[in-house]
Amino acid sequence: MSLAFARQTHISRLGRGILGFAALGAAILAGMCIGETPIPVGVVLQTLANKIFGATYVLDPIEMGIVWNYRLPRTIVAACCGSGLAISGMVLQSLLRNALADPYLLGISAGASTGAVMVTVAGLGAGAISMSLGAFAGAVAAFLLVAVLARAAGGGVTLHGTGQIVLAGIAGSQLFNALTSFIITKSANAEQARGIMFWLLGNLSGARWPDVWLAVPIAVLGLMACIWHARALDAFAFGSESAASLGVPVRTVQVALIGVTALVTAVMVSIVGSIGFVGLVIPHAARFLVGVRHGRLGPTTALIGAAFLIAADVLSRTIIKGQVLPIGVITALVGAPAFAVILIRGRRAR
Amino acid sequence: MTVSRLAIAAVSLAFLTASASAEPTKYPLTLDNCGEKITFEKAPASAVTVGQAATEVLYTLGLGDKVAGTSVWFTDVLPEFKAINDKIERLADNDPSFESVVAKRPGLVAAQFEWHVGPSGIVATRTQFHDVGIPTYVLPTDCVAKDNTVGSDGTRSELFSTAPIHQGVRELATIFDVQDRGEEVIADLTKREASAIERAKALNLHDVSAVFWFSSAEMDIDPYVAGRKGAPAYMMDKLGIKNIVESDEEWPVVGWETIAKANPTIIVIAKMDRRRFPADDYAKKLEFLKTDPVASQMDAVKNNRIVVMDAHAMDATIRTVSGIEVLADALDSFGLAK
Amino acid sequence: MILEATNLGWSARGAPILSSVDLSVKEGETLGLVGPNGSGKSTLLKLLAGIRTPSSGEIRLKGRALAAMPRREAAQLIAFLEQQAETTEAITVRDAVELGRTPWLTPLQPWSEEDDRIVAQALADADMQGFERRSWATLSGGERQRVHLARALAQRPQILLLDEPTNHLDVQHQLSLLELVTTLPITTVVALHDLNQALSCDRVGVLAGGRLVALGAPEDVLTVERVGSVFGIRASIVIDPTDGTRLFRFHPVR
Repeated sequence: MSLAFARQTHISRLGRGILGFAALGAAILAGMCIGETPIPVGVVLQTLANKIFGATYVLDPIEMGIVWNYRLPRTIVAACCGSGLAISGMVLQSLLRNALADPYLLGISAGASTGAVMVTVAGLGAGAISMSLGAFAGAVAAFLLVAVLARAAGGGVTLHGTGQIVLAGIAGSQLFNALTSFIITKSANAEQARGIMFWLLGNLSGARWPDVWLAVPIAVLGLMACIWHARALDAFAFGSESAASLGVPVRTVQVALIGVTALVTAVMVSIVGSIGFVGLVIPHAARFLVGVRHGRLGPTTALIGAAFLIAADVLSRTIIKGQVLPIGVITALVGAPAFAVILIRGRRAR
Repeated sequence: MTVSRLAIAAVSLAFLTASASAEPTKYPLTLDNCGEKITFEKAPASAVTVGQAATEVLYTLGLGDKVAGTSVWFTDVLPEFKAINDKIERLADNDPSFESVVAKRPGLVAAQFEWHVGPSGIVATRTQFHDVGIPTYVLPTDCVAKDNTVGSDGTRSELFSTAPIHQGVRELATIFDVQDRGEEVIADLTKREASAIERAKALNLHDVSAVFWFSSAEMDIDPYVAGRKGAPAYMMDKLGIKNIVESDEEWPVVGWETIAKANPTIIVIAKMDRRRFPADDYAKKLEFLKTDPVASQMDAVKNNRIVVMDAHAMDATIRTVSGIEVLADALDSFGLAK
Repeated sequence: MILEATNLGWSARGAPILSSVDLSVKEGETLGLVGPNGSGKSTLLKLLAGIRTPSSGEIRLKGRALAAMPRREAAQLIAFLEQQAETTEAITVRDAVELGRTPWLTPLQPWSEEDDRIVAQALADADMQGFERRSWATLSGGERQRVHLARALAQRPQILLLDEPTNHLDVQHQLSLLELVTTLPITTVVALHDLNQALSCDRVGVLAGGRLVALGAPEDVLTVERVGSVFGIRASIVIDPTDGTRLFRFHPVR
């Protein structure tokens, strides 16, 4: 039984929104306080006071810099990335009627990794293009290829096309993964391969304020698109023909949502690398908690995704002292058992 | 000449010949090298190198005319060998193919790293070469007290020392029957190292810490820094400097937060010719240190205690000694003497 | 004429499924569609509902071209009940029926008490009160069918298109559904397998091989000859002695 306690206790929409924001704020604060090195909570709060409210606490510039310039942007980017990937997964699962859909289904992650290795390993752009830009270009290229392929297969974004999209996505992903492997084995030495590995498994350590200004609007865009189309997404429950009979302009909605999903995923992957499991597992966790209605599912998915990735980032830095693990390892290690728990409890609940 | 000068000359001559007359190699020569037995009927007529360190050892031993091909270059060749090197074919800047090496029909393949020529060698396994009758030699610096199956660059079980470097020089000299030259080289390395250590001791350093920054996958991302057991750790240990990194891996990834908090007294950055990561360029590393809001607050950056060191000296090679000298010079110039 | 189809055709991969269908549906009538499997009944209904685009011909809804109408507006007028609509989601009965209100809601016109009332009424009409919290996965085929009907009713359409709605239902529910459908003051087009059920419609259309071969009152259209030629069976008419209604009895062709 889903925990529809919000209905029973009549928390208003506004109340739920405030609770959600408070939870997000708490998660971000936790991300700032916990890190590789111990920094007292007082210092964190005083740093915030100094930077936001212009207070004049005397603090060690290194500690203040770590909190404000390293931890805070990284936590915010983690939140944006977690919510963006989770929302993208949720949208694709609902649109494509496939519980195993995740944001990388459209070939985006595979394309991004190809773009990244072309820049770093094959030396494309000769150091003028950053890995992130190459990744973004690769992601977009892969997605366009998949879309064209799905279209040519007679599917694409029409009423009957969901099977074709999935297959086209698989074909595209395989192609780009093969390209990535080819480039790595042909040109890379062990150290480059290691750098790529780190990126392919996700890495938030380079996140700074400029990344925040990119990640936040995109994440908000994704969430807004979801909320706006919440009813349409609900209507897809019985398939796209059913949705059409319920008055949903199916083609328009599919194009808009898949387009937004692709954009959000491509941007997030180019900033932090490809972090797995978030887009696949978090929507199911959210469904288990609040049910299938997208009006509630969307924001819940975003919130859980944000908190999850913040926690995973903190874990990746603290689990081994003095060393940083790739975040994709943590999300998989935590995500897999969590998924198992959800499956088992979900079955018992019925 | 006076009698006294003649006497001194005679004694010096005797001394020189005495120390320089190492025994000629007895063939057939069998060696244990990194877990493999290799045998030589006579001194090899030619060699192909896979790894800059191996190349430079052969050059230092005066065997440049026997080198038929080189590969795997990290930086420019040492200037004193430029003329010789220019005449020798470079099979690949990076990893050569097995066939291109074999095509040279060398009498020996000398490799720097096991991950090039070794049990999981990407060029070939040692057996592959031995099967076609080509013996392989891997520099002991990569296998003595080092497990290459653990960690991305391998993990050492004890702190590196320059002994394996000398062992590599000595063994290659034996293989090629130039042991006199070999002993000279080793003597020179030992002397330089000793004098650098003396100078550092004279500075009487207290509480000096350091971090060695090799490169980073992206400019702002957590860097690859030297662990506790590799060549940089050796340098720091001999000069009385504390390494702020605690990992035993060769080049672990450590967050900038940890480094900034540790606030090392000096920062050593690697200079190399490779340009695969933007951070390979030491100028970019300097720029990062000066502009990053947290890194720029470190004492070492504010007081410009940054040392630029040849990247290849940070690996276990004959250049390691010059790395020690650079570091000792820097310590001197920073006025850290007490 | 609330719904008019002129020269309607639809092909899939070059093969014509439906051709040259001219059909006018009168307001308030219950029109039955019969025909053997593959005759194009489902396709015709989907075209009339506007969820498929015809390859040829056009459809006019209340005089306006259906193709030009926004989906939302069309859905406020037409509700379509598919033959098989399944889901793997953990959706409750109430959630499923509430979907029927989708064409009427906007972000500025969110859920209201009126919608609650309509949903409750729809559940009652489909004989599904008390099932609100049940999960979809726990329902039988017939119960699911009735939930779909409730959803269609919650849409408050003026035209109801039903594709073989009696398929999984037991006899009692088959009869009550048909009674409901015929007595509702809305226009209904219903595809049926059971020819006897078709006899209770106002008019019947017969589809064979993608063409509309007959359209009119049941007794005129469903003659023994036509039934024999279209369905490939032998039929005989039987009169019920209690009230004189005509019924079919079927025999296989020897």
